[in-house]
Amino acid sequence: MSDDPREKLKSCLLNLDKNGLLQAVQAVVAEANPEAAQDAVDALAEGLQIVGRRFQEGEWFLGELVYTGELAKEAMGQLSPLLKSSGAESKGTVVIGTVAGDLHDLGKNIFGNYAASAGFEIVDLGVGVAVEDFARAAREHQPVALGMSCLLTVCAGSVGKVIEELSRQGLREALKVIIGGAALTEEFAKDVGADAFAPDAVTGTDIIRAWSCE
Amino acid sequence: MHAPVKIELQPLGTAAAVARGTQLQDVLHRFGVEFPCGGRGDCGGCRVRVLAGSLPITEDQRELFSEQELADGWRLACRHAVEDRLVLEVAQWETTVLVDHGELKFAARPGTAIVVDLGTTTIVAQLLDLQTGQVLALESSRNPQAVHGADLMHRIEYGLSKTGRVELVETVRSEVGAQIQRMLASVSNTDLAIERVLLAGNTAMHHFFCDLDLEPLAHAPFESEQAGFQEIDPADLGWALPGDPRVQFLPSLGGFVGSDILAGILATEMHRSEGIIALADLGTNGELAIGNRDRIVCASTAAGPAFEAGQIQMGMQATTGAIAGVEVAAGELRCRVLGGGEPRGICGSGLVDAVACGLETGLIKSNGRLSRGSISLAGRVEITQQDVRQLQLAKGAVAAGIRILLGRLGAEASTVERFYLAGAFGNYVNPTSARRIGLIDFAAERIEPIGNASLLGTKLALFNEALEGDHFEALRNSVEQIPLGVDEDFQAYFIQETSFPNL
Ligand code: B12
Ligand code: FES
Repeated sequence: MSDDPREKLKSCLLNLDKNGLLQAVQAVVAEANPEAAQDAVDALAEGLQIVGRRFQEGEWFLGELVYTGELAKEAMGQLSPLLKSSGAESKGTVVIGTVAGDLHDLGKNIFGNYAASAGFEIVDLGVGVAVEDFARAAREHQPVALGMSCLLTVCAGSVGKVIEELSRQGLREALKVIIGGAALTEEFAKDVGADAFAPDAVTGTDIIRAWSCE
Repeated sequence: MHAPVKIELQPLGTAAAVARGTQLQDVLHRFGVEFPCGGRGDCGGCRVRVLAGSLPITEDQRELFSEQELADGWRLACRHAVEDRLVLEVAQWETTVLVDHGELKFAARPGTAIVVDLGTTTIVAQLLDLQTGQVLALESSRNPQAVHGADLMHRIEYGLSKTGRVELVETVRSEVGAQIQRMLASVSNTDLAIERVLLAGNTAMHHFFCDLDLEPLAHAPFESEQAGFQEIDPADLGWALPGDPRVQFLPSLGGFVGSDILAGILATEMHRSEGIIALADLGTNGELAIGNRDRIVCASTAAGPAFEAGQIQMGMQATTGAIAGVEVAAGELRCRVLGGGEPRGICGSGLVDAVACGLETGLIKSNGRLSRGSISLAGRVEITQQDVRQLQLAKGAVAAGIRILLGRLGAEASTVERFYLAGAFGNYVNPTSARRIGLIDFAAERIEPIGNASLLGTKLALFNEALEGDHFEALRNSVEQIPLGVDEDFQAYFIQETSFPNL
């Protein structure tokens, strides 16, 4: 085993070792060095990539996905003050919510956690979010991306309505739209003019991360 | 001119002559074949194999079938029309009829009446002699609405349009009407007068049959103000029945929890019991009721179709050719195939058994991971990683729902006196396996299959004058529906319960 705190962060995350992870984070925080903190964040991101792969390949399931998401979010929470103090910019805000009529929120929450641990500010509008509320949040928070979740086929229509409303209010150009959830597909995303569909939360996070580097 | 062509369906050996160009979906549907995704070509549930004749391969089917399967003649019935003589093997089979096997306590009076369990998949009706309690005739058939999707949400969506609603309402009403006519035709007594027709079913079926506004069932909070006791004029149904009966639909309990569960409560006598009784009907909706004479709580857990082997790669209904049981003998998996022949797929009870055996032998880890690519059971039947994941979601939702309901009652699993499992799956599932996978945490000897609890309870309601109209409302009002979607603990429990117990 290496003593490198960054390696330790990654291996603790992948071994679901909460105590070990928090100790490693503490060690980095104690250094009070923004560069070291940035390295730690990168190590976490690498760890999460592996989590994503394990999930996609069926090695891990929801339990591990949710737990690592929470661990990473907690670690990020402790590291981010250091990053901010160094003036490193946030990756921007992501507004998320489950569409009107639908109360399923697990998938959306997992995505929110992953995006937060990738360095985005998350504004979670909750479930059953009305079209106007998505639009209002897009105006108020000026997010880089808007994420919508939908698991009920009867509610899928709302996704398109939100996108239309954004266009109508001239808000569509300024942000990207990403959608996910069991009722939606890649094809559906194309039809309603969303920028991306994500089959899972980790892929979704990769997509918005790639956008923020564009 | 469209000359008729002959089409033959194996292995039941049914034959029909149909007009050239007829959609295969329409033909097969008449013979009880289901179209789980409503014929969108998404689910693969309507698989048929061409034994004679030909069906040209369409591009979209290449995604669902391997080259080999296509070469073997497998096609999606919903993607084709009949152009020439065909002999097809239908992957689906008719389900076994499930009727109640409970005893009936009743107050004798002269007359005849009819009870109907209006299920999403199957409709069962009985003609009853009110004097003797005897079943004079029985009918069971597929719910013909299934052509618009096995899933209720697909049907509700279809029913939101004016024409869709009319069609769904007409289809279900005329099917029940036809069942009644067939039952009447089958009895020798020609001057029967029917006093009452009493129906039970989930909230969506209640709304379809009574032709009520479907809009409230299409979005959260899924509460309809019209979900109560309904009486319909037989003339409005287009039924001409002897005795001019009253036609009544029992009230729903709230949300998607329908009168089938209310009737189930009557059948289990939960509302009279001192000890705590639980009832679970594990179809796609996964409905639960737990309680005793002091308090009853209920919920719908939205388990999805895994217990009925829906969305399982080699899933099929519990009929000939289905692996319905699996056990470990001398370190090997041994399968029980319904009908004893060649295994063709696996049904819900077989899946639960197979996963329980996998956990016992270490082929499946407690997080659901398979130690190798897939587990082969018998013949070419296997279960995949994805199948286990589907079961984990379904069982996680039900187990979490049970925990929430017990919590609301301030009770523990160990204090539940009896756990009744209703429906086809409940009838066939092995309680020990159900416990091994963590679906239900109750000692096997306290778990009891109850068959069609909805039909049995509806009969009790029929024989019991005290349960007419208003009194029914009183019972209904005493049952509290717990909306799991807004419950604080549901999510954490659900995630925990998607794992298997680590013994
Ligand atoms: C758990 C569950 C519930 C819970 C919800 C709890 C909660 N707070 O979320 C409860 C029990 C309350 C519930 C209720 C209902 N449910 Co429900 N439910 C399920 C179940 C079992 C699992 C869904 C789930 O959480 N999966 C796990 C999560 C993590 O997966 P996910 O959401 O897909 O998310 C992943 C990706 O899709 C992606 N993702 C998701 N959203 C987003 C968003 C973005 C931006 C991105 C990038 C990614 C992303 O990331 C996630 C992780 O990788 C499914 C059945 C099944 N077997 O799947 C039914 C299911 C979704 N429910 C269904 C139904 C019908 C209902 C009800 C309407 C009726 C009922 N039977 O009670 C009610 C009403 C709920 C309401 N008021 O809205 C149906 C939908 C059918 C359809 N065709 O529309 C399903 C499919 C079951 C079925 N076949 O009947 N349900
Ligand atoms: S593929 Fe779903 S019904 Fe044909």
